[in-house]
Amino acid sequence: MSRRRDRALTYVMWVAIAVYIGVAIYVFWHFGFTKLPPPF
Amino acid sequence: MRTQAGGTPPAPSEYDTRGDLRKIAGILVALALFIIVLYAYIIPLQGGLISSTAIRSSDLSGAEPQFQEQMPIQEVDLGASGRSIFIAFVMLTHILFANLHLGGAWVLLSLVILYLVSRQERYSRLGKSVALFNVILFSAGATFAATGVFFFIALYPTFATQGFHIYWWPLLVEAILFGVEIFFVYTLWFTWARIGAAWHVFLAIGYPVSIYLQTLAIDTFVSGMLTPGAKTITWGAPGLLGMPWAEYLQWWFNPTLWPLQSHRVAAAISFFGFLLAFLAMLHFRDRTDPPSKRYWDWVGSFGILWGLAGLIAQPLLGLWYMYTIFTHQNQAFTNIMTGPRAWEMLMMVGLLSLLIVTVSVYFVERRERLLVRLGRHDIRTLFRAFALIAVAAGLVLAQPAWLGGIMQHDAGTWANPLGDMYYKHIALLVLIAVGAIIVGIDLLVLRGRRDEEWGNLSRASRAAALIAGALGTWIVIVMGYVRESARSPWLFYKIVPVPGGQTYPTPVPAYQIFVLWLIILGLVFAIFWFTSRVTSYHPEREEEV
Repeated sequence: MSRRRDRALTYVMWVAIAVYIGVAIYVFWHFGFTKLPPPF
Repeated sequence: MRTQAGGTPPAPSEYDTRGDLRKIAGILVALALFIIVLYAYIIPLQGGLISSTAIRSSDLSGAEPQFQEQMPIQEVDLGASGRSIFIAFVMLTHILFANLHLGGAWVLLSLVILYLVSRQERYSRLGKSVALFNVILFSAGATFAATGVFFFIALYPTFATQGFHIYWWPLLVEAILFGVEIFFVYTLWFTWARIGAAWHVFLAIGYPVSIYLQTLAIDTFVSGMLTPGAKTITWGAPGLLGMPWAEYLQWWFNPTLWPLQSHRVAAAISFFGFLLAFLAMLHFRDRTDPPSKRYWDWVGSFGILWGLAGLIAQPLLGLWYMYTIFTHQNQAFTNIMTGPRAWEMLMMVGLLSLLIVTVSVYFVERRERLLVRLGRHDIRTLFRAFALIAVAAGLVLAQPAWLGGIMQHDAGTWANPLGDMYYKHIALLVLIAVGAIIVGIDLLVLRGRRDEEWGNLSRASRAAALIAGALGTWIVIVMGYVRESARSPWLFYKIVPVPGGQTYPTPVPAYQIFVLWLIILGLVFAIFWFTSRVTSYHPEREEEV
């Protein structure tokens, strides 16, 4: 695999990880914080 | 002096080849303390020792007579919960064998693709080992499944009659997919390296897809027990369809089908990854030749990464699952979140937290030599910080929300401000982020450099991987128990009760299920290890990993 392609793949995977964390925050906000009942 | 890989070793004062065993001792002490506090303090003070049959007794009286048990109760001489113990034993054990395929098939597909892309022998060797491991243990999983069906019919005849009738068509699909699955996995192993790449990929894709669909078929039944497709079971005229097609669809594609299916796949992948790491550590100790040591060290790391990837997906899917239960079976939601079964969720998130702490310690210990040699003190510090952050998040997650009452909102209960769900959501998010960033650093930053280090596995990192394997397996059977006891005292929620009423309370009591978990873990790990010894291909001495 060429170095350029390798770097591009690495970049894409970091973006994917960042997107995953972003989705996690959104899902927790959407379902966890706002729709599930408050504990008290 | 040169290392095996040709690098200059770091100064002896900078690392210890045994690793920091105090961290391992800390994990084990934390686990023991957590279990002791949970069982001695939290469970009794949250009404966890009171059966759901007693708590929901007024609901049970509303069950229709036709769904009450018509046959005499078949006891099994194990006390009032004997029948439930039998079912828990066979089904929880079955889940662990079934997950070898549900999770292992995707790991196997990744190995086939990695081999075809890189042509590195280690991927092919591990893939062939996984395929043979799954081929041999297929019969064990199928045996427990068939035994479970027999137990359902003998011990819960009314439920079995209704359930197998409603789910006849999905179960037929499942039965056919047994054959398809056997074809794919057996052929994949028998033809390994003897057929072209295209056929190899075809078999490697067919295997996980068939397992996925087979699990989906059985999940229509499993999820439908918690969120049935109707308020009662209404049968129609004889024919291919026992009730209108639209009603069948309501039962099969019920609200919790997809969340359950998705969560199961992620959990199975995580379980298989951690199991791979566990077995690799035993092989590492068992083998004496350096190529095998290097190879099994690499397998351990490969397994841990898969385990972690599956693990960080689970809180998201779990939240989706919980939200669906909240909206469609609210009473079951209160049972497991704000009621007498909440200790089970507490145990699950406690084990999850400890698992991420253990994985963080694995990376701290396993990459220590490499990071010192590369001078990457930033990553070294980050890994250590992640372990501490995971500990802090775990302490938040392990907090009970209340004590001194069966329901959280009962009068007179003591509310624990640290057990607030908002904090727990944040703690879960932190664990997800920690896990995802660890995967990123190890795969993307250290990827090429890790190969220089295989074989230099410290005792502490080996112990961490073993603990991760045990916790990763335990958490699967805890999750199975949570779903079953969320439904108690019903088999089909609010339609078919667990027969026997107050004489035969459910779910399986906390102390009994704990003993059962230990028996199951001991049994399956013995089977996994002995099978792995005869199914693993080790590198030849002259080969390099």
